[in-house]
Amino acid sequence: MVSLFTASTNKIINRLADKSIRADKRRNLFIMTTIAFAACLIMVLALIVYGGTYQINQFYRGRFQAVVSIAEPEQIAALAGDEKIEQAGLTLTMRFKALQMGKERLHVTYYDETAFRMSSFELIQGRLPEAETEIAIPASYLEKKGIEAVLGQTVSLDLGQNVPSTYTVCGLIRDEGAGYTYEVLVSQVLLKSYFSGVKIPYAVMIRMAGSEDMEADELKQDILACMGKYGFDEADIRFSSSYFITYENVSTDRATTLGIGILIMIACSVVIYSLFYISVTGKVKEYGRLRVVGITQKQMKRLIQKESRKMSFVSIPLGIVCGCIIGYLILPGGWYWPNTVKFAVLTVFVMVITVRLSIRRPVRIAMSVSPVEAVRITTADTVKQGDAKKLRRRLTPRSLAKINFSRNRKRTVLTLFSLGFTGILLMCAAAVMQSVDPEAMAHRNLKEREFIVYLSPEEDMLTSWASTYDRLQQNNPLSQDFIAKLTEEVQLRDLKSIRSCQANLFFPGNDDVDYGHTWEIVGLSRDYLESHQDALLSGTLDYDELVENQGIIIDDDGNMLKTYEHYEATVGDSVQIENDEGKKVPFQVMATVHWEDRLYGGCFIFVPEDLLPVIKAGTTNFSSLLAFNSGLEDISQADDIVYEICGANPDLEVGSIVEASAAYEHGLKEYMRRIYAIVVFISIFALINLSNTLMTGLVARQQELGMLRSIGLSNKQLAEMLRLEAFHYVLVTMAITLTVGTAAGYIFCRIFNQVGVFGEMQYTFPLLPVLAFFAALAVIALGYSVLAVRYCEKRTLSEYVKGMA
Amino acid sequence: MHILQTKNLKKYYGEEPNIIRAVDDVDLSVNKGEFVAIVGNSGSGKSTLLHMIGGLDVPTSGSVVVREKELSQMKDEELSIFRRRNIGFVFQNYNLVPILNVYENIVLPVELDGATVDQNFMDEVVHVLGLEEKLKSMPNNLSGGQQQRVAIARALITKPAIVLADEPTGNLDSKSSADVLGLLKLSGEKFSQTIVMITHDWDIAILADRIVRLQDGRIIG
Repeated sequence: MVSLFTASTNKIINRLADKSIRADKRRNLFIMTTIAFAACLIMVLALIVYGGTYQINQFYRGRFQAVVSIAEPEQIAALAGDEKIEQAGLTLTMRFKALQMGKERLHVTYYDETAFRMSSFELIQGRLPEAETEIAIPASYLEKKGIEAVLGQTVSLDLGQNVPSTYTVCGLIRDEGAGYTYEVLVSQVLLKSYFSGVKIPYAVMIRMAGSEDMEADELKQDILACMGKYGFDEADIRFSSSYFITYENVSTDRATTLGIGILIMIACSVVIYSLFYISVTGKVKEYGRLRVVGITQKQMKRLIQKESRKMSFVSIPLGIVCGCIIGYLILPGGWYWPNTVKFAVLTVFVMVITVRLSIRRPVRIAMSVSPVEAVRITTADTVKQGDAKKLRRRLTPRSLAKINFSRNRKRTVLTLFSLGFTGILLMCAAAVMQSVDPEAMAHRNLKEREFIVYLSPEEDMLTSWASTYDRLQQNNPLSQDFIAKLTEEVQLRDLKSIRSCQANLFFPGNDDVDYGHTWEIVGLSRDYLESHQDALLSGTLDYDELVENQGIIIDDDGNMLKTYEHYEATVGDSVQIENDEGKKVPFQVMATVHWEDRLYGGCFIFVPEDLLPVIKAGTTNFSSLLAFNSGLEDISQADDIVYEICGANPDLEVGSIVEASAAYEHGLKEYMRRIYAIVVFISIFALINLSNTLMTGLVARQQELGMLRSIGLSNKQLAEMLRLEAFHYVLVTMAITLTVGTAAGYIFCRIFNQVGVFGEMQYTFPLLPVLAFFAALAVIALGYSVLAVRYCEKRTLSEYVKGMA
Repeated sequence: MHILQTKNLKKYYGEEPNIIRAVDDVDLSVNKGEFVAIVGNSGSGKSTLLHMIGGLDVPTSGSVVVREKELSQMKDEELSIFRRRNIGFVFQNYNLVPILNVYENIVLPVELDGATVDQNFMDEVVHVLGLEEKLKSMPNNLSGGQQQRVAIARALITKPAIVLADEPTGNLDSKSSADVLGLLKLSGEKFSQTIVMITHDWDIAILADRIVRLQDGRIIG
């Protein structure tokens, strides 16, 4: 309840607050800019993150959640009629291996209208193929191939018939063309012709009804239960990774938003606190006069709170409106009114709390001002109590700058805190970003080499994957001749190879089931086993013992077997491996290991190489992957040659450092853009703070500077003093950035390295970002000294001296 | 010998018919070692005259010659250097630099000039002004009278051609005023220092060797 006294004094407090705001335009501009900027930032951040989620949700609203393999026609019809299923669409990837067209790979797929809608595709022009000779293809692919991307264009392709045919482009698909992989859509007529006389193994894309608000696990269970009714088991169902990863990303994004929001609030609070603190301490005399005429401590408190409220009243809505405009311009598809209103209310709440907390201490200082301050000639702000420790110091513009820099420690510390905070943040972000090496990430995925070439047979719908693979290995293209050719053409060196086969495995517990999952079984040499004894977790790695007892070695550090086979490797267990004659051969788990070797990343089951022929008697060359470097100086040239050599063989797949690095770099750039945007936002707060500190110092010291000039401080000396004063902030910020920032950046890199988010990181000092930051600070310092001298010159010395009286 | 001479010195503000003639055709000569008091009421133009004599303000017309140098002929930088070597100021509000101690405040003009402090002269000035015990003190710990004594010491330390004192006792009580004036006069005599002081107080002015009366920007006696 407002007391009568409070109500009656409200008017005068209001008027005083208004007068104060009008009298100190520069400070108010800084404060209002800071509040508006912070409100704008929070709003933009919320709109982008939640707008992005909203957009993704909208995008996935009609998208498929799972694909069911090889559905019977009657099953398809039943699925389409099930009211629990919102949509069901037919699809089929015609060739399970992509069509290699030079460096580019084309996936040949059929989608009916529903499946096309449920996928992430979009036609820029035209329609889906209907006739046998029609295709829909990405415009970017055609452009890459130097073909004009227009409807009616003819393209010669081998879409599985082993002879190239001419197709007419009836639809152009939207594709940014960032990678080498593209989708070519074909008609159902072509599909029927291709599978002539054979049942077409359609897959069905499904989307459950009422699934928008379901949790990921709940939805998966729902899909499994629903599909179970139609005779599909877990093995027949593939969940859409993009759909379910989105679920996980949303929660990660929310946590990131909260983190960044808190950072913005801290940065904003420091600046607002600092601005009010500087303002209040600079107005001690004025407040003293108010105390003299009878203002109470409570009224003083109300006065400053009123000032802050009045400024917030203008700047928070301004910031929110700006934030809405920016947010909309960045992500128009994410605009959703209920969200916007919710965030606007939240931003108001957060900003009001931030401002209120920020001014607490300045309010207390103002309340404690005593009336005697009104008659003091110098304010407490500039007073050093007690005697000086030293009788004399050298007095030059340089030393005066240093003395001025430290005259108000608290203000200086506050400014340096926000500048240092920015510097540290920048160092952490930049160090992590610069230490990520896209090439190293690519190397890691390419078995620490520049190229990998591996067997990748085209899957035949009617033959098991293991048999298809066996057939290829029995006539293995990764021959000595092939290696010799690579040696000759790209100066192949540092060759590492994997010798392995593919076979169905029956783990304990499911050995009675007819159908086993296919796993890669890697053969290891005697030397390898002898030199990697330290990787042994249990059992033995004795080569002869393993051969003698038909032993297998399991490395399930990634819990793949646990997840997919529900099997936990234990020495002594019997695992049955189906040989190339279809017979189950019993093997014994004789060792569990954890190899550190990247060559075998993604491999889980190992045997001594002498046991490979026991599994695949018909195979003589077990090479499945070659990893190598090229001796050619120009890696792009080597890349072209390797693709040319391997492109001739449809059963070989190539991975190259050029392609992989480019892909990682593309992703990294995107990431860096976001991180630096946040650092730039935070740094704006610090720069506002620095500008305010410098300008306030200048304005408050006008008389002093006038006096110094009157006793002979020349304009050159004045400029030098002001410039050096500003550069003290730059230098200390540089010192904080280079010491604490570097240490923090290094620690962050170590942490990220251990977590492994960005692969192996080699700490790299972020020279360019740091130089850019220092340059920005130096520009402000220089700009300040130029402006400050001009500002001082605006009035004659006489005017300053008159002001002293 | 004239150490200071003004000729037809004018300072006008605004334009006819609202022109304000703050200083109007002032001819003033001051000899070396002379202690001159310029007396006038508030608004008589005495401060403006003092500022032009000290090179702090630019005249509308006329000239100020200090030690045979015409101030209006000097460029800004040159004038700053000339000022710190030849003119000492004592202001009503003392205007000491709050972050420097007494010693540093006194030697500031010398050090800004890159020169070395004449320690014997420094000791003498400090002794005459009774500041020996206060050299390490910060200005805020001094009384008004003490602060003004520091300001006088600062004005004297460069052995300037002329010391300009702008109502040096304006903020002091009567006892401190008497002390400060006595010390100002004593210093002037001891160091043969030319002093021009402005005041509105006749009781103070009579301590000077010569009194110049100013009214409406003109010398009237």
